Amino acid sequence: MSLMHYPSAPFVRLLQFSSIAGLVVIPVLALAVQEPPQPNDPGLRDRDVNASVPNISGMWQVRGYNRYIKPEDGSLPPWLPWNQQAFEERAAAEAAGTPLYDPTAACFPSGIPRIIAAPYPVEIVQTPDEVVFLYETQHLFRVVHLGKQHPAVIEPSSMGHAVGHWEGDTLVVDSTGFVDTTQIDEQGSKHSAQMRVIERIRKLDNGSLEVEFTIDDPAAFSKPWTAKRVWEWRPDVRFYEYVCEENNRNAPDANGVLRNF
Amino acid sequence: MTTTRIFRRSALAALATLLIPSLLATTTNVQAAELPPDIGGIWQLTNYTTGVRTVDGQLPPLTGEGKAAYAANLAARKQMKPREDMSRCVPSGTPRAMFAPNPLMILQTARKITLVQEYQHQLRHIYMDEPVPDPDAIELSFTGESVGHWEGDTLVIDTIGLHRDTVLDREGMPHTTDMSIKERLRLIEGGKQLEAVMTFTDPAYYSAPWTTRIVFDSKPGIELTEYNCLGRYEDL
Repeated sequence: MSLMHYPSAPFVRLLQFSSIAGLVVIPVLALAVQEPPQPNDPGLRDRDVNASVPNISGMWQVRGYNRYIKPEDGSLPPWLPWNQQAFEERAAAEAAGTPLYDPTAACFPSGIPRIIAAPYPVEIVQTPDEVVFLYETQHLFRVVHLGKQHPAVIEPSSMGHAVGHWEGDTLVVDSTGFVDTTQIDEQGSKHSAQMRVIERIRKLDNGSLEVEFTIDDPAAFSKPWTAKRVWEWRPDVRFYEYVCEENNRNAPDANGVLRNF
Repeated sequence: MTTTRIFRRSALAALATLLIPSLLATTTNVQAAELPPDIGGIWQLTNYTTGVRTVDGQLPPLTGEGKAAYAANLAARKQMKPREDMSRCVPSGTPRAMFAPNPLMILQTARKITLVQEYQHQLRHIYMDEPVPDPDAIELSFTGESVGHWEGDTLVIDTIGLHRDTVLDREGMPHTTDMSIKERLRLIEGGKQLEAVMTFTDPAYYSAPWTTRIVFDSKPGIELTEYNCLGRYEDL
Protein backbone atom coordinates (compact mmCIF):
# COMPACT_ATOMS: atom_id res chain seq x y z
CA MET A 1 0.00 0.00 0.00
CA SER A 2 1.15 3.50 -0.61
CA LEU A 3 -0.56 6.57 0.71
CA MET A 4 -1.29 8.98 -2.06
CA HIS A 5 0.17 12.40 -2.16
CA TYR A 6 -2.29 14.92 -3.38
CA PRO A 7 -1.33 18.19 -4.97
CA SER A 8 -1.81 21.23 -2.79
CA ALA A 9 -1.92 23.35 -5.91
CA PRO A 10 -5.29 24.78 -6.95
CA PHE A 11 -7.72 22.89 -9.08
CA VAL A 12 -5.90 21.36 -12.03
CA ARG A 13 -7.40 17.91 -12.42
CA LEU A 14 -9.93 16.45 -14.75
CA LEU A 15 -13.47 17.39 -14.11
CA GLN A 16 -15.58 14.29 -13.90
CA PHE A 17 -19.25 14.07 -13.24
CA SER A 18 -22.12 11.88 -14.22
CA SER A 19 -25.33 12.85 -15.90
CA ILE A 20 -28.53 10.87 -15.78
CA ALA A 21 -27.79 9.62 -19.30
CA GLY A 22 -24.33 8.27 -18.57
CA LEU A 23 -20.81 9.32 -17.79
CA VAL A 24 -19.38 12.44 -19.34
CA VAL A 25 -15.72 13.26 -18.93
CA ILE A 26 -14.45 16.71 -19.74
CA PRO A 27 -10.71 17.34 -19.71
CA VAL A 28 -9.85 20.60 -18.02
CA LEU A 29 -6.45 22.28 -17.96
CA ALA A 30 -3.34 20.29 -17.09
CA LEU A 31 -3.13 16.92 -15.41
CA ALA A 32 -2.46 16.22 -11.76
CA VAL A 33 -2.81 13.22 -9.49
CA GLN A 34 -6.45 12.37 -9.06
CA GLU A 35 -8.23 13.38 -5.91
CA PRO A 36 -9.52 10.47 -3.84
CA PRO A 37 -12.87 9.26 -5.15
CA GLN A 38 -16.07 9.93 -3.28
CA PRO A 39 -18.18 6.91 -2.34
CA ASN A 40 -20.39 5.70 -5.20
CA ASP A 41 -18.25 7.43 -7.81
CA PRO A 42 -19.38 5.88 -11.11
CA GLY A 43 -15.79 6.33 -12.32
CA LEU A 44 -14.78 3.44 -10.06
CA ARG A 45 -16.65 0.83 -12.03
CA ASP A 46 -17.37 -0.11 -15.63
CA ARG A 47 -19.62 2.53 -17.16
CA ASP A 48 -22.03 -0.15 -18.44
CA VAL A 49 -23.04 -1.32 -14.96
CA ASN A 50 -26.70 -0.48 -14.45
CA ALA A 51 -26.97 2.58 -12.22
CA SER A 52 -29.50 0.77 -10.03
CA VAL A 53 -26.88 -1.80 -8.96
CA PRO A 54 -25.31 -0.87 -5.59
CA ASN A 55 -21.87 0.64 -6.11
CA ILE A 56 -19.33 -1.24 -3.98
CA SER A 57 -16.40 -0.48 -6.31
CA GLY A 58 -13.26 1.11 -4.96
CA MET A 59 -10.54 0.46 -2.42
CA TRP A 60 -11.27 -1.28 0.88
CA GLN A 61 -9.25 -2.63 3.77
CA VAL A 62 -10.30 -4.90 6.60
CA ARG A 63 -11.00 -3.16 9.90
CA GLY A 64 -8.66 -4.52 12.55
CA TYR A 65 -6.24 -7.37 12.04
CA ASN A 66 -7.59 -10.55 13.52
CA ARG A 67 -5.91 -13.71 12.30
CA TYR A 68 -8.50 -15.96 13.88
CA ILE A 69 -11.74 -16.54 11.99
CA LYS A 70 -14.40 -17.66 14.45
CA PRO A 71 -18.20 -17.81 14.52
CA GLU A 72 -19.89 -14.45 15.02
CA ASP A 73 -21.37 -15.56 18.37
CA GLY A 74 -17.86 -15.94 19.81
CA SER A 75 -17.97 -19.72 19.99
CA LEU A 76 -15.21 -21.92 18.62
CA PRO A 77 -15.48 -23.21 15.05
CA PRO A 78 -17.46 -26.49 15.06
CA TRP A 79 -14.42 -28.55 14.07
CA LEU A 80 -14.70 -32.25 13.46
CA PRO A 81 -12.28 -34.08 15.78
CA TRP A 82 -9.47 -34.41 13.19
CA ASN A 83 -9.66 -30.69 12.46
CA GLN A 84 -9.68 -29.70 16.12
CA GLN A 85 -6.67 -31.94 16.72
CA ALA A 86 -4.82 -30.35 13.78
CA PHE A 87 -5.69 -26.88 15.07
CA GLU A 88 -4.47 -27.64 18.58
CA GLU A 89 -1.24 -29.20 17.31
CA ARG A 90 -0.59 -26.06 15.29
CA ALA A 91 -1.30 -23.79 18.27
CA ALA A 92 0.99 -25.86 20.48
CA ALA A 93 3.80 -25.79 17.92
CA GLU A 94 3.53 -22.02 17.58
CA ALA A 95 3.51 -21.58 21.37
CA ALA A 96 6.65 -23.70 21.52
CA GLY A 97 8.37 -21.41 19.00
CA THR A 98 8.39 -24.10 16.31
CA PRO A 99 5.51 -23.08 14.03
CA LEU A 100 4.20 -25.57 11.50
CA TYR A 101 4.26 -25.04 7.74
CA ASP A 102 1.84 -22.43 6.43
CA PRO A 103 1.31 -22.59 2.63
CA THR A 104 1.41 -18.80 2.32
CA ALA A 105 4.95 -18.86 3.71
CA ALA A 106 5.83 -20.69 0.49
CA CYS A 107 3.86 -18.04 -1.43
CA PHE A 108 0.83 -20.20 -2.19
CA PRO A 109 -2.38 -18.15 -2.41
CA SER A 110 -4.21 -17.44 0.84
CA GLY A 111 -7.45 -18.71 -0.64
CA ILE A 112 -11.03 -18.21 0.45
CA PRO A 113 -12.09 -17.42 3.14
CA ARG A 114 -8.68 -16.53 4.61
CA ILE A 115 -8.08 -13.59 2.28
CA ILE A 116 -11.29 -11.91 3.51
CA ALA A 117 -9.43 -11.22 6.77
CA ALA A 118 -6.07 -10.30 5.20
CA PRO A 119 -4.86 -6.90 6.44
CA TYR A 120 -4.09 -5.47 2.99
CA PRO A 121 -6.06 -3.29 0.59
CA VAL A 122 -8.62 -4.89 -1.72
CA GLU A 123 -10.09 -3.17 -4.75
CA ILE A 124 -13.52 -4.09 -6.05
CA VAL A 125 -14.30 -3.37 -9.70
CA GLN A 126 -17.81 -4.04 -10.95
CA THR A 127 -18.57 -4.80 -14.59
CA PRO A 128 -22.00 -5.69 -15.99
CA ASP A 129 -21.18 -9.41 -15.77
CA GLU A 130 -18.68 -9.65 -12.95
CA VAL A 131 -17.59 -8.35 -9.59
CA VAL A 132 -13.80 -8.52 -9.59
CA PHE A 133 -11.73 -8.47 -6.40
CA LEU A 134 -8.12 -7.30 -6.76
CA TYR A 135 -5.91 -7.99 -3.77
CA GLU A 136 -2.66 -6.27 -2.86
CA THR A 137 -1.54 -9.36 -0.98
CA GLN A 138 0.15 -11.81 -3.33
CA HIS A 139 -1.31 -9.77 -6.25
CA LEU A 140 -4.20 -12.21 -6.33
CA PHE A 141 -7.53 -11.65 -8.00
CA ARG A 142 -10.93 -13.26 -7.94
CA VAL A 143 -13.75 -12.99 -10.44
CA VAL A 144 -17.36 -13.39 -9.24
CA HIS A 145 -19.49 -14.28 -12.25
CA LEU A 146 -22.91 -12.67 -11.96
CA GLY A 147 -25.97 -14.64 -12.96
CA LYS A 148 -23.98 -17.75 -13.84
CA GLN A 149 -23.98 -21.31 -12.53
CA HIS A 150 -20.88 -23.22 -11.47
CA PRO A 151 -19.62 -25.45 -14.28
CA ALA A 152 -20.25 -29.18 -13.87
CA VAL A 153 -16.52 -29.81 -13.55
CA ILE A 154 -14.34 -27.32 -11.69
CA GLU A 155 -10.56 -27.44 -11.64
CA PRO A 156 -9.85 -27.06 -7.91
CA SER A 157 -8.09 -23.85 -6.88
CA SER A 158 -7.25 -21.80 -3.81
CA MET A 159 -9.74 -19.05 -4.60
CA GLY A 160 -12.41 -21.43 -5.89
CA HIS A 161 -15.02 -20.76 -8.55
CA ALA A 162 -17.39 -17.95 -7.62
CA VAL A 163 -20.85 -17.04 -8.90
CA GLY A 164 -22.99 -14.26 -7.51
CA HIS A 165 -26.20 -12.32 -7.64
CA TRP A 166 -27.71 -9.28 -5.96
CA GLU A 167 -30.45 -9.63 -3.36
CA GLY A 168 -31.47 -6.03 -2.82
CA ASP A 169 -28.43 -4.22 -1.44
CA THR A 170 -26.56 -7.46 -0.79
CA LEU A 171 -24.16 -9.24 -3.12
CA VAL A 172 -24.46 -12.97 -2.50
CA VAL A 173 -21.40 -14.94 -3.61
CA ASP A 174 -21.33 -18.72 -3.80
CA SER A 175 -17.84 -20.27 -4.04
CA THR A 176 -16.84 -23.89 -4.43
CA GLY A 177 -14.18 -25.94 -6.20
CA PHE A 178 -11.43 -25.51 -3.64
CA VAL A 179 -8.19 -27.37 -3.07
CA ASP A 180 -7.83 -28.71 0.49
CA THR A 181 -4.35 -27.27 1.03
CA THR A 182 -5.28 -23.74 2.07
CA GLN A 183 -6.20 -22.78 5.63
CA ILE A 184 -9.46 -21.23 6.83
CA ASP A 185 -7.44 -18.55 8.57
CA GLU A 186 -3.98 -17.57 9.70
CA GLN A 187 -4.61 -19.37 12.97
CA GLY A 188 -4.71 -22.70 11.14
CA SER A 189 -8.18 -24.25 10.90
CA LYS A 190 -8.28 -26.58 7.95
CA HIS A 191 -10.99 -27.40 5.45
CA SER A 192 -11.66 -30.08 2.89
CA ALA A 193 -12.09 -29.96 -0.88
CA GLN A 194 -15.85 -30.17 -0.25
CA MET A 195 -15.94 -26.67 1.25
CA ARG A 196 -18.54 -24.26 0.00
CA VAL A 197 -18.49 -20.61 1.11
CA ILE A 198 -21.46 -18.28 0.85
CA GLU A 199 -20.67 -14.59 1.28
CA ARG A 200 -23.19 -11.84 1.84
CA ILE A 201 -21.57 -8.50 1.08
CA ARG A 202 -23.28 -5.17 1.63
CA LYS A 203 -22.48 -1.60 2.45
CA LEU A 204 -23.31 -0.69 6.04
CA ASP A 205 -22.75 2.92 5.05
CA ASN A 206 -20.52 4.67 2.56
CA GLY A 207 -17.53 4.07 4.82
CA SER A 208 -17.85 0.36 5.48
CA LEU A 209 -18.61 -2.88 3.75
CA GLU A 210 -19.80 -5.90 5.68
CA VAL A 211 -18.60 -9.31 4.49
CA GLU A 212 -20.53 -12.06 6.23
CA PHE A 213 -19.46 -15.53 5.19
CA THR A 214 -20.81 -18.98 5.92
CA ILE A 215 -18.51 -21.99 5.71
CA ASP A 216 -20.22 -25.24 4.82
CA ASP A 217 -17.86 -28.20 4.85
CA PRO A 218 -19.27 -31.45 6.25
CA ALA A 219 -15.86 -33.16 6.00
CA ALA A 220 -14.20 -30.59 8.29
CA PHE A 221 -16.97 -29.08 10.48
CA SER A 222 -19.98 -30.58 12.21
CA LYS A 223 -22.28 -27.85 10.88
CA PRO A 224 -22.16 -24.73 8.72
CA TRP A 225 -20.94 -21.66 10.60
CA THR A 226 -20.84 -17.95 9.93
CA ALA A 227 -18.17 -15.34 10.52
CA LYS A 228 -17.88 -11.68 9.62
CA ARG A 229 -15.42 -8.97 8.72
CA VAL A 230 -15.99 -5.29 8.05
CA TRP A 231 -13.95 -3.59 5.37
CA GLU A 232 -13.32 0.14 5.59
CA TRP A 233 -13.48 2.51 2.65
CA ARG A 234 -9.89 3.49 1.82
CA PRO A 235 -9.95 5.91 -1.11
CA ASP A 236 -6.68 7.34 0.21
CA VAL A 237 -4.57 4.28 -0.60
CA ARG A 238 -3.23 2.79 -3.76
CA PHE A 239 -1.72 -0.61 -4.38
CA TYR A 240 1.88 -1.16 -3.49
CA GLU A 241 3.67 -4.00 -5.24
CA TYR A 242 3.58 -7.13 -3.09
CA VAL A 243 5.93 -9.88 -4.24
CA CYS A 244 5.99 -12.80 -1.82
CA GLU A 245 8.81 -14.52 -3.70
CA GLU A 246 10.96 -11.46 -3.10
CA ASN A 247 10.25 -11.48 0.64
CA ASN A 248 7.58 -8.80 0.53
CA ARG A 249 8.53 -5.69 2.48
CA ASN A 250 5.08 -4.25 2.93
CA ALA A 251 4.08 -6.36 5.89
CA PRO A 252 1.79 -4.86 8.53
CA ASP A 253 3.17 -4.34 12.01
CA ALA A 254 1.92 -6.19 15.09
CA ASN A 255 -1.12 -3.92 15.22
CA GLY A 256 -2.00 -4.53 11.61
CA VAL A 257 -0.92 -1.06 10.55
CA LEU A 258 0.60 -0.92 7.10
CA ARG A 259 3.90 0.77 6.57
CA ASN A 260 3.86 3.74 4.31
CA PHE A 261 6.57 3.79 1.66
CA MET B 1 -10.17 17.67 4.59
CA THR B 2 -8.62 21.03 4.06
CA THR B 3 -10.53 24.22 3.53
CA THR B 4 -8.91 24.46 0.13
CA ARG B 5 -10.28 21.12 -0.87
CA ILE B 6 -13.76 21.88 0.40
CA PHE B 7 -13.66 25.08 -1.60
CA ARG B 8 -12.44 23.20 -4.63
CA ARG B 9 -15.27 20.69 -4.37
CA SER B 10 -17.84 23.43 -3.93
CA ALA B 11 -16.48 25.19 -6.96
CA LEU B 12 -16.66 21.96 -8.93
CA ALA B 13 -20.22 21.34 -7.89
CA ALA B 14 -21.20 24.85 -8.88
CA LEU B 15 -19.48 24.48 -12.23
CA ALA B 16 -21.13 21.11 -12.83
CA THR B 17 -24.53 22.53 -11.99
CA LEU B 18 -23.98 25.23 -14.56
CA LEU B 19 -22.72 22.84 -17.22
CA ILE B 20 -24.98 19.80 -16.89
CA PRO B 21 -28.23 21.29 -18.20
CA SER B 22 -26.57 22.76 -21.28
CA LEU B 23 -24.72 19.53 -21.92
CA LEU B 24 -27.87 17.48 -21.62
CA ALA B 25 -29.59 19.79 -24.03
CA THR B 26 -26.89 19.72 -26.67
CA THR B 27 -25.04 16.44 -26.46
CA THR B 28 -27.68 13.74 -26.41
CA ASN B 29 -26.45 12.43 -29.74
CA VAL B 30 -22.85 13.48 -29.40
CA GLN B 31 -22.28 11.82 -26.06
CA ALA B 32 -21.59 8.35 -27.44
CA ALA B 33 -18.83 9.78 -29.59
CA GLU B 34 -17.29 11.52 -26.59
CA LEU B 35 -16.95 8.32 -24.60
CA PRO B 36 -13.73 6.42 -25.15
CA PRO B 37 -14.03 2.98 -26.76
CA ASP B 38 -14.83 0.08 -24.46
CA ILE B 39 -11.80 -2.23 -24.35
CA GLY B 40 -13.01 -4.07 -21.24
CA GLY B 41 -13.28 -7.84 -21.42
CA ILE B 42 -11.18 -10.92 -22.07
CA TRP B 43 -8.38 -10.86 -24.64
CA GLN B 44 -5.78 -13.34 -25.79
CA LEU B 45 -2.55 -12.74 -27.70
CA THR B 46 -2.56 -13.89 -31.34
CA ASN B 47 1.16 -13.56 -32.06
CA TYR B 48 3.03 -15.15 -29.18
CA THR B 49 6.77 -15.08 -29.54
CA THR B 50 9.66 -15.83 -27.22
CA GLY B 51 11.72 -13.06 -28.78
CA VAL B 52 10.31 -9.60 -29.26
CA ARG B 53 11.25 -7.86 -32.52
CA THR B 54 10.60 -4.48 -34.09
CA VAL B 55 7.53 -3.90 -36.26
CA ASP B 56 9.83 -4.62 -39.24
CA GLY B 57 10.79 -7.99 -37.79
CA GLN B 58 14.30 -6.82 -36.94
CA LEU B 59 16.36 -7.18 -33.82
CA PRO B 60 15.97 -3.99 -31.76
CA PRO B 61 18.77 -1.41 -32.28
CA LEU B 62 20.99 -2.52 -29.41
CA THR B 63 23.94 -0.38 -28.42
CA GLY B 64 27.25 -2.03 -27.59
CA GLU B 65 26.26 -2.12 -23.95
CA GLY B 66 22.84 -3.47 -24.85
CA LYS B 67 24.35 -6.18 -27.06
CA ALA B 68 26.59 -7.31 -24.22
CA ALA B 69 23.64 -7.49 -21.81
CA TYR B 70 21.55 -9.40 -24.35
CA ALA B 71 24.39 -11.85 -25.09
CA ALA B 72 24.84 -12.45 -21.38
CA ASN B 73 21.12 -13.13 -20.97
CA LEU B 74 21.09 -15.53 -23.93
CA ALA B 75 24.12 -17.36 -22.56
CA ALA B 76 22.62 -17.60 -19.08
CA ARG B 77 19.47 -19.00 -20.60
CA LYS B 78 21.42 -21.71 -22.41
CA GLN B 79 22.85 -22.72 -19.06
CA MET B 80 19.32 -22.77 -17.62
CA LYS B 81 20.26 -19.86 -15.36
CA PRO B 82 18.34 -16.93 -16.82
CA ARG B 83 18.99 -13.65 -15.07
CA GLU B 84 15.38 -13.07 -14.16
CA ASP B 85 15.15 -16.62 -12.79
CA MET B 86 11.49 -17.23 -13.40
CA SER B 87 11.80 -20.57 -11.65
CA ARG B 88 11.40 -18.59 -8.43
CA CYS B 89 7.96 -17.50 -9.69
CA VAL B 90 8.68 -13.80 -9.42
CA PRO B 91 6.40 -11.80 -11.74
CA SER B 92 7.54 -11.49 -15.34
CA GLY B 93 6.54 -7.85 -15.00
CA THR B 94 6.01 -5.13 -17.56
CA PRO B 95 6.16 -5.37 -20.54
CA ARG B 96 6.83 -9.10 -20.63
CA ALA B 97 3.45 -10.02 -19.14
CA MET B 98 1.86 -8.40 -22.21
CA PHE B 99 3.58 -11.04 -24.36
CA ALA B 100 2.14 -13.98 -22.38
CA PRO B 101 -0.07 -16.39 -24.32
CA ASN B 102 -2.60 -16.70 -21.48
CA PRO B 103 -5.86 -14.74 -21.43
CA LEU B 104 -5.86 -11.14 -20.23
CA MET B 105 -8.82 -9.42 -18.59
CA ILE B 106 -9.14 -5.66 -18.97
CA LEU B 107 -11.19 -3.77 -16.41
CA GLN B 108 -11.99 -0.31 -17.74
CA THR B 109 -13.27 2.49 -15.56
CA ALA B 110 -13.00 6.25 -15.94
CA ARG B 111 -10.42 6.53 -13.16
CA LYS B 112 -8.31 3.47 -13.77
CA ILE B 113 -7.71 0.66 -16.21
CA THR B 114 -6.55 -2.63 -14.73
CA LEU B 115 -4.87 -5.34 -16.73
CA VAL B 116 -5.53 -8.68 -15.01
CA GLN B 117 -3.15 -11.21 -16.48
CA GLU B 118 -3.93 -14.89 -15.90
CA TYR B 119 -0.22 -15.65 -16.27
CA GLN B 120 1.20 -15.45 -12.74
CA HIS B 121 -1.93 -13.53 -11.71
CA GLN B 122 -0.19 -10.25 -12.48
CA LEU B 123 -2.12 -7.04 -11.91
CA ARG B 124 -1.22 -3.85 -13.71
CA HIS B 125 -2.83 -0.66 -12.44
CA ILE B 126 -3.04 2.19 -14.96
CA TYR B 127 -4.21 5.44 -13.38
CA MET B 128 -6.04 7.62 -15.85
CA ASP B 129 -5.40 11.26 -16.67
CA GLU B 130 -2.43 11.76 -14.39
CA PRO B 131 1.08 12.92 -15.20
CA VAL B 132 3.93 10.42 -15.38
CA PRO B 133 5.31 10.33 -11.83
CA ASP B 134 8.66 11.79 -10.89
CA PRO B 135 11.14 8.90 -11.37
CA ASP B 136 12.94 9.93 -8.19
CA ALA B 137 9.74 9.73 -6.14
CA ILE B 138 8.82 6.13 -6.94
CA GLU B 139 10.18 2.76 -5.99
CA LEU B 140 11.27 0.49 -8.82
CA SER B 141 9.03 -2.55 -9.29
CA PHE B 142 8.31 -5.50 -11.54
CA THR B 143 5.11 -3.90 -12.78
CA GLY B 144 6.33 -0.32 -13.03
CA GLU B 145 4.25 2.81 -12.63
CA SER B 146 1.70 3.35 -15.39
CA VAL B 147 -0.56 6.26 -16.26
CA GLY B 148 -2.97 6.42 -19.17
CA HIS B 149 -5.12 8.75 -21.19
CA TRP B 150 -7.31 8.55 -24.25
CA GLU B 151 -6.27 10.17 -27.52
CA GLY B 152 -9.39 9.71 -29.60
CA ASP B 153 -9.90 5.97 -30.01
CA THR B 154 -6.48 5.12 -28.59
CA LEU B 155 -5.51 4.39 -25.01
CA VAL B 156 -2.02 5.76 -24.46
CA ILE B 157 -0.11 4.27 -21.52
CA ASP B 158 3.18 5.62 -20.19
CA THR B 159 5.24 3.39 -17.94
CA ILE B 160 8.47 3.93 -15.99
CA GLY B 161 10.03 2.54 -12.84
CA LEU B 162 10.99 -0.99 -13.91
CA HIS B 163 13.74 -2.54 -11.85
CA ARG B 164 16.71 -4.47 -13.15
CA ASP B 165 15.31 -7.94 -12.52
CA THR B 166 12.94 -7.97 -15.47
CA VAL B 167 13.58 -8.49 -19.16
CA LEU B 168 11.39 -7.74 -22.17
CA ASP B 169 10.85 -11.28 -23.39
CA ARG B 170 11.52 -14.91 -22.73
CA GLU B 171 14.87 -14.81 -24.53
CA GLY B 172 16.11 -12.00 -22.34
CA MET B 173 15.94 -8.75 -24.33
CA PRO B 174 17.41 -6.41 -21.73
CA HIS B 175 16.54 -3.00 -20.35
CA THR B 176 17.94 -0.60 -17.80
CA THR B 177 15.99 1.00 -14.98
CA ASP B 178 15.76 4.14 -17.12
CA MET B 179 13.57 2.48 -19.75
CA SER B 180 10.26 4.14 -20.51
CA ILE B 181 7.45 2.47 -22.44
CA LYS B 182 4.71 4.12 -24.42
CA GLU B 183 1.88 1.79 -25.37
CA ARG B 184 -0.93 2.68 -27.75
CA LEU B 185 -3.93 0.35 -27.50
CA ARG B 186 -6.90 0.50 -29.83
CA LEU B 187 -9.67 -1.72 -31.11
CA ILE B 188 -9.29 -2.98 -34.67
CA GLU B 189 -11.28 -5.32 -36.90
CA GLY B 190 -14.54 -3.87 -35.67
CA GLY B 191 -13.66 -4.55 -32.05
CA LYS B 192 -12.81 -8.22 -32.54
CA GLN B 193 -9.15 -7.45 -31.96
CA LEU B 194 -7.09 -5.19 -29.75
CA GLU B 195 -3.84 -3.80 -31.09
CA ALA B 196 -0.99 -2.73 -28.80
CA VAL B 197 1.82 -0.73 -30.37
CA MET B 198 4.62 -0.48 -27.84
CA THR B 199 7.60 1.87 -28.06
CA PHE B 200 10.65 1.38 -25.85
CA THR B 201 13.04 4.18 -25.02
CA ASP B 202 16.23 3.23 -23.22
CA PRO B 203 19.28 5.15 -24.54
CA ALA B 204 21.92 3.11 -22.72
CA TYR B 205 20.83 -0.14 -24.33
CA TYR B 206 19.11 1.03 -27.54
CA SER B 207 20.49 3.59 -29.98
CA ALA B 208 16.96 4.79 -30.83
CA PRO B 209 13.44 4.25 -29.54
CA TRP B 210 11.99 1.16 -31.16
CA THR B 211 8.50 -0.19 -31.62
CA THR B 212 6.81 -3.55 -31.63
CA ARG B 213 3.19 -4.50 -32.26
CA ILE B 214 1.06 -7.22 -30.74
CA VAL B 215 -2.56 -8.13 -31.39
CA PHE B 216 -5.11 -9.72 -29.10
CA ASP B 217 -8.31 -11.55 -30.05
CA SER B 218 -11.51 -10.84 -28.16
CA LYS B 219 -12.44 -13.95 -26.20
CA PRO B 220 -15.83 -13.31 -24.64
CA GLY B 221 -17.02 -16.12 -22.44
CA ILE B 222 -13.57 -17.34 -21.40
CA GLU B 223 -12.97 -17.39 -17.66
CA LEU B 224 -9.52 -16.73 -16.25
CA THR B 225 -8.20 -19.67 -14.28
CA GLU B 226 -5.91 -19.75 -11.27
CA TYR B 227 -2.33 -19.78 -12.49
CA ASN B 228 -0.17 -21.83 -10.18
CA CYS B 229 3.51 -21.24 -10.83
CA LEU B 230 4.71 -22.91 -7.67
CA GLY B 231 3.60 -26.45 -8.36
CA ARG B 232 0.65 -28.69 -8.57
CA TYR B 233 -1.43 -28.57 -5.42
CA GLU B 234 -1.71 -32.35 -5.32
CA ASP B 235 2.09 -32.57 -5.17
CA LEU B 236 2.22 -30.72 -1.85
